Amino acid sequence: MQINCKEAADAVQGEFSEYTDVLRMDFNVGGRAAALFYIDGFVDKIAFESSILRPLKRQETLEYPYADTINQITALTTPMKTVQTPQEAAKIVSEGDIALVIDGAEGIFIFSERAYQTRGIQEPPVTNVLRGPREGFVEDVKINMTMLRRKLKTPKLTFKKAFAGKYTDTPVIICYIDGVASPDVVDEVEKRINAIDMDGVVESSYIARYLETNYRSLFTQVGTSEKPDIIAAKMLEGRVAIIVDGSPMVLTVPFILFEHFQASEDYYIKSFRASFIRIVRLMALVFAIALPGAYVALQEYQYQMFPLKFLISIMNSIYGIPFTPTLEMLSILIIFEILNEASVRMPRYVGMALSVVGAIVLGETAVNAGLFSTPAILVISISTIGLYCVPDATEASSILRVLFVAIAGVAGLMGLILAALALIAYLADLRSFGTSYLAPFAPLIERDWQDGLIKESIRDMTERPYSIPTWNRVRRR
Amino acid sequence: MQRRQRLKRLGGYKWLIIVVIAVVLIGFDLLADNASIVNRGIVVGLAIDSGGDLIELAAQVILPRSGGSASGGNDFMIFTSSGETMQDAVEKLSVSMGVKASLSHCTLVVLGGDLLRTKGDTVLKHLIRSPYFADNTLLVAASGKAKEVLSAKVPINDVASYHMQRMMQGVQREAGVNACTIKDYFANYYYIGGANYMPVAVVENCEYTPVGPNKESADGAQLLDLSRTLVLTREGYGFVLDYDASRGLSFVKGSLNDGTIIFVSDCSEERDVVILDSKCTLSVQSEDEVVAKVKVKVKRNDLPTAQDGMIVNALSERERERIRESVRGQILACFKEGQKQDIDIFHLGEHIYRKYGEEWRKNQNKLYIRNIAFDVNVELTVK
Amino acid sequence: MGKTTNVVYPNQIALLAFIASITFKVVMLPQYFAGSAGRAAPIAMAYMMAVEVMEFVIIYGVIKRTSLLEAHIPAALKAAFILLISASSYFKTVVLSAEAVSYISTTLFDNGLWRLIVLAYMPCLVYISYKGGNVLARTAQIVFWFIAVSLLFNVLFAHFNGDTGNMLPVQFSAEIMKACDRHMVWFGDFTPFLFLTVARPAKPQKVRLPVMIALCFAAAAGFMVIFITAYGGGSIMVSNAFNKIAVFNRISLLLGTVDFPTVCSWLMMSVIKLALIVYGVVEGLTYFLKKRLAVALLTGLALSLTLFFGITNMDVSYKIATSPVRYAVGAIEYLLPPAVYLAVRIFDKTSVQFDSTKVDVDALREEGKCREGKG
Repeated sequence: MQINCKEAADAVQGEFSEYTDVLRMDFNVGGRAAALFYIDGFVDKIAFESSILRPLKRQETLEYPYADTINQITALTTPMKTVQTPQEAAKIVSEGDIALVIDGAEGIFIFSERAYQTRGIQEPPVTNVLRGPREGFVEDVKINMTMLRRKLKTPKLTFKKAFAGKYTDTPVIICYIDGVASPDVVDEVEKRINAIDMDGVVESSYIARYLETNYRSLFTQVGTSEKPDIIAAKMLEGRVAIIVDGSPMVLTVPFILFEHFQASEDYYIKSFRASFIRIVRLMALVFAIALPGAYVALQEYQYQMFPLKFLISIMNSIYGIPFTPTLEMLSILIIFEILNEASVRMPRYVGMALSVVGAIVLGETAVNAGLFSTPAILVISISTIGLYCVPDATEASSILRVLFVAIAGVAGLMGLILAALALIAYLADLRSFGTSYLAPFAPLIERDWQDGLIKESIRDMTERPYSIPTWNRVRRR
Repeated sequence: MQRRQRLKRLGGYKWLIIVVIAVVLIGFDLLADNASIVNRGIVVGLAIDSGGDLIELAAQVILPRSGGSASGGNDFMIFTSSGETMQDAVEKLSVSMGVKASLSHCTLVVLGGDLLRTKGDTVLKHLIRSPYFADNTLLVAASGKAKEVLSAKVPINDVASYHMQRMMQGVQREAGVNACTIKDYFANYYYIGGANYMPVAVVENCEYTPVGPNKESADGAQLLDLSRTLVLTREGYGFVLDYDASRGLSFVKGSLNDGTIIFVSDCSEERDVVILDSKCTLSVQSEDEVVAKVKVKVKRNDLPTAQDGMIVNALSERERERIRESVRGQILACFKEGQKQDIDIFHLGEHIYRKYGEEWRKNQNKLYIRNIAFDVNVELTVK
Repeated sequence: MGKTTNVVYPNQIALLAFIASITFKVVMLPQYFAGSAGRAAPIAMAYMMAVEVMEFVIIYGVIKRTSLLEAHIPAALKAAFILLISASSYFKTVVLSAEAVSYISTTLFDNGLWRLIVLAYMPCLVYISYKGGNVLARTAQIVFWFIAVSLLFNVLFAHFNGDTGNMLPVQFSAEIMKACDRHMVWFGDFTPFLFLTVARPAKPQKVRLPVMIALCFAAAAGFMVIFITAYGGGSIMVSNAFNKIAVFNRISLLLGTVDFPTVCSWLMMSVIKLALIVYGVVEGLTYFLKKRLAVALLTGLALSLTLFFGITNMDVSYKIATSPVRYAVGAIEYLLPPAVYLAVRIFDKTSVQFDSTKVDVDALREEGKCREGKG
């Protein structure tokens, strides 16, 4: 098949809208008409000019097949490809590559010299550590793959490419270690990604919703992380990672609830300290969710559970407050959520002032004005601080605590306990790619407790977790 | 299929679930009759008297104070009510208080003497059956009106309820204060003979002035004496044991780890030893003979001193014998008092029954205690 | 619902057995036994617990190989067994729910309205039982940590004066059998276990079943001993033994008048236990009617209406529990398990123990059928 330059070039140009940033350059190569298509801002101009444009313009003759000649005269860092249709060429140009149409050629030639501005590798803002690597993923999928490759220098590291989104055609990379990850999980992930039918994927959370079976659930069934060391460690346990172009958040499956309590730092410090901290995190989360509701329940219904002196102290504190305990707690919760949201959205320079205002308004003024009681402020403060001890679980926890307050307000401790049991039953039924969400506690898998609340030393963790399907249970093989 | 599609148009099952939950919660909230702690009066002590046909209650209630606990202690007030039954009187207490009375923190109940003579059984059965009183609630009898005991202005920064609780629990408990909880009362009630006991609170004036933020006036303080014990039967009020007999009862019934035993030394001086521990087992020798074996561990109150290589203030054998006699005398005094009144204070009948069973019981009448010989062996260990 | 709904592991069975056995034997039953058997109440309790342990051993012998639902026995026989289990489970749920509601009403509320508590309690029970035996067992595994810690605290920090002589003299009298006969409904709660399947775990587990069963026996009989030791003849006056005894501990003296861990742990145990019995109803009826959700909702509605209008206090519940109907229920609870065991031994030659290593892949594939979106 031989390409007619004018027709093919016009066809490629016709794929784009009238107002486009795609540039067309018409020139001659070896006496033949040629056209180059590229997007300004997507290509490395120096490499483009020196390695591709100048050699082409200088070429005086072209022999069929043109591909061989072009390969010889150009200095490319990635192999040249050939496509047959203008539609394919237009698609590839949209992705940032360069298309060359030559009259009489056997196809349309594609060069890749991408060089666009990306964010530099930085410490992720939501995952701080005192000890351990501080680099985080960026939005570019190739850089992310490279970062992962630097951690897992094994030929078994596999990257399977898929695309999602009709208009975005977002590259989605399925990463796993061949021989460690379960092929069934890999196949299932691939199947679900290939089944995605939507117009665009701009962030990894879009993919996450399609990977989850119960996507309407309050609880995520897909893990996320911005740090390559965490992703590498999870892949070594048998999980599959999914990198989505345009998002620094990498997904991992299968996911269990206990992963919220595992931080990367736990593996870099002594196991005693790690165990203690995990227990503290669990307590923090329980306090975060249950403490406001329990406080309301005890005030409204089950006050007899307070010791007498504590009861007197609370009575004195709430004397004269115009709201019922439930309303008071809900109001403070809402105010704290507003404060929280404002501090995230507010420009950095104003954030400090807002924090001070928030603390003074709530901590001092509202209490002195007799609108809220001190114990209630204290309870919500402890709850909110506890919430951020486990930042990955904030989404679900912040809603649950409001629900629990409402339930406690109407049905007391009984309502709280029944709601907690129903929640546990719900979580016990949840699964993530065949893995029980509450593993290794329900079902009880004692061998996985080595990385549970009481963490063992890294030297003693010789097996991969039984909760995660894997073909290779022993770590050292 | 059509129903499913209709449901999908309405938004799916989740809205149905939300509606159901909302109905349950709102229904619960609207229909439940509840008062939170701001609308409650916390009763810390209760005094029950008999007023003719009525039961009179006096409740010591904490009054909330604004400004939190940083502003100092809380005030207390005595509220009264009366009713034909206990429950009636409790309901009327809420009316007199203006808020709902909460008895959940009432761990002390004072029973008036006249009540114990008439309606004591009914009231006590109410206490054990009521879900508001924990079975570790302490019972105290009053020689006169229970309300006077509750209203006593104790000299230290406290109220009578707390003061009496501390006297009967833990640190300040002395030999002679025979604490009784609701559980103990009913455990004893169903023993053979059914004798029961509880401390008697006697209010005495003293020259001290009460201090603290919760005192209503600067009048003189009052002391509460719990060293005497009231003995009851299933029929009600029995008699009051004196100081020595009360101590005798506490040796047999309680495991004592506090208090002193006073004795006369070889030099005719009064000395004392501190009780560290004591245990008593009742040993049934025959169908009409019981021996109480009491093991008492004591320690000298004074530090040892030596002279010419010899400890000079050690206890001699005669002094030890006097200590043993002191304990034995108190126990026997208690038993004899009870025997005089035909009341089996030490539940000897129960112990005999446990050994000899129905064969023994069916041959006995209510006056069996008259035929029982009782002796005491005291084993003394000096630390 | 997939096939894995009713599959449980041996350690989960052990936990469920403990909770099912102990929960309602420590609340009102001690008082009832004391009222009937007097000082010999511990002997009566030990006797009935021994019978219950034997029943459990027989049931375990069946479910170790196959559940009643999967057993290859004549269809009519199977249907009869399932229907009888459902009927007796319904009866027991009503009686024991009344006890639980009464407990909540007096302990957690100021004599809270009966119907409102039923309104809040039932949805949770029905939801957990609807989810299946597997989820029920996992829920029990999670909450058991809290229950175990609170029970341990109560044992370690117990602080009451009791007299072991309260149980003397030891008399084996007719009152013991009378007590056992009158209160047989409170025992034999393992028949819903016949709908469960015990799986061979993928990795070896330390099987704690014999220990747990011994613990059930020891705990129930031991609690009765403690109760009689503490209250003696006054036991007949005590309506809620677990609560009353729990108050006598060093921590509770500091915490308030109601022992918070005890109350909460008992509430959790009661939900698990009742959910297990409701599961017996739901699972049995689903076998015939096939639509699990509808069956669960109808069961919940029926139970709620029974408790709303039929049984409105403990007196009515006690009268029904001790009426002649108890003999029918007792016959089902005690005679049906051996009958099932014999039927399975005689007719079912093909069933083998469930292999959980196959489960994970199947569950994954089953999960792959996305309920929403393309799959």
